[in-house]
Amino acid sequence: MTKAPHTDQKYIDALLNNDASLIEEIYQQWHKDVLNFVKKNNGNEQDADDLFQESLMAVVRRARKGDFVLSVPFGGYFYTVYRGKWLDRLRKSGRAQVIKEEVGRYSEESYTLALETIFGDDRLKLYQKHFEQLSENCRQLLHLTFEKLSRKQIMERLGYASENSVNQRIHRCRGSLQQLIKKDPTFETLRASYQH
Amino acid sequence: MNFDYKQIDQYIQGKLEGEALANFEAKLLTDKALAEEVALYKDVEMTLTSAYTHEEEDAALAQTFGQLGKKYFGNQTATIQEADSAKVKQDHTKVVRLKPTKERTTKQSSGLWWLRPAIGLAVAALIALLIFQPWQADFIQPFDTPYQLAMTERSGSEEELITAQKAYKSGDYAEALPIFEKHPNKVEVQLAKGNAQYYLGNIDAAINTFEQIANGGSVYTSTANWYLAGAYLEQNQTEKAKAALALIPTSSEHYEAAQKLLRKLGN
Repeated sequence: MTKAPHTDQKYIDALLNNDASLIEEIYQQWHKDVLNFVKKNNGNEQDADDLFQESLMAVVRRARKGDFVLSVPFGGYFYTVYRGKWLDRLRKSGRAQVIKEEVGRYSEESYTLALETIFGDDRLKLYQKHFEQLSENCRQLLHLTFEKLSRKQIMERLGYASENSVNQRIHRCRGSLQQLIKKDPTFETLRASYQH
Repeated sequence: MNFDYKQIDQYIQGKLEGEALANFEAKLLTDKALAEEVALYKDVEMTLTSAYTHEEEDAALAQTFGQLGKKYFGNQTATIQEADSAKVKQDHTKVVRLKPTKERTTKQSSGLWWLRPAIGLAVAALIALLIFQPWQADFIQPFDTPYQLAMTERSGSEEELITAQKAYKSGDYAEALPIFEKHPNKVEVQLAKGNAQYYLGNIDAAINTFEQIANGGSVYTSTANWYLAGAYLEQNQTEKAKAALALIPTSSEHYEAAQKLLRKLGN
């Protein structure tokens, strides 16, 4: 069931291609909304700038996943993303939430897409956080696997004795990473978001 | 819980075939824990691959966002609604003094905090490749050789253990492990068990196993400390690794290697 793209798809393409002039349109159109929203909800100018960037980056990451087609207005989708992210931030820092529920303002589809976007971003942060805790050797090695180098290329690049050693090391490192991730308190809530 | 990350990895990479593939897929349908582990493995793979294959693009985007952010969020006036965008640009030059520029820059860089791990990793990887390449391989490589379990053939109940030993020697750690678990009083077997857990990527479990042996006061204490150090290094727990290595006496076969490694680790 493929939907036709909304005309706002151009913003998604602009982000994916780093089209500065079109990205500036995004800033022009929505910077005030974000600023007002943040200021109404316990934040300042800096927070608004950060939130804007982080939310756009989350959209980029979601858009890179193969099945993405923007079939809703960008404004509604973007709002739901930055609103959700700001709520999370306030919750974590213990600041009061004064966000009023805007019922029925945006479509169900917009909300679903925004949730996928936020969760995807949260999962990336979770995985990166624990990746950093691995040994330098593991990080170096896994980084190359994530760059899609073949096991043979990795063997040659890092001077391992054999592909088998490379594989063994990779399994150990991935196992470690996975265990660290599962021990994180936020893992349970995020787990449901990727299981299809 | 012990998972066979080798098999999971092969499955995700599409390298399992025929009967092995069919068996694994059947297991996925009935073993919920395994299915969840595989789902996580896949998601980690996809998520981190996407992030690291787009590192440069993300850096370029960050620059664009940074510049636009300065332009559209640079104003410190209280009521931004009253100013149109042209006035905002003007006010920026007058008003920016009100907020200390130091705070501005640190906050600005905090806006890119999500990028720092990516950049940090790229830089770390580059440095590691250019400078520490041979050294890095040596660091953990001593632990690439598993403990050489050598039990002799005996009759009766020991047969299963001999089978497990065979599996262990041919690298089939997942098969060997459950049998090793049944012999908690055989220290040698426990050493092999720790190794099997280590090679399967279950580092926490391996650490537990080796610690128990190391504290057990048997003749295998120093060997256990050797492998314990390796497991700690996998988790970046350098101090604990050094502590374990330092406990290995001169009489141990691992003494030389331990001392060498201690020198590399510093202090």
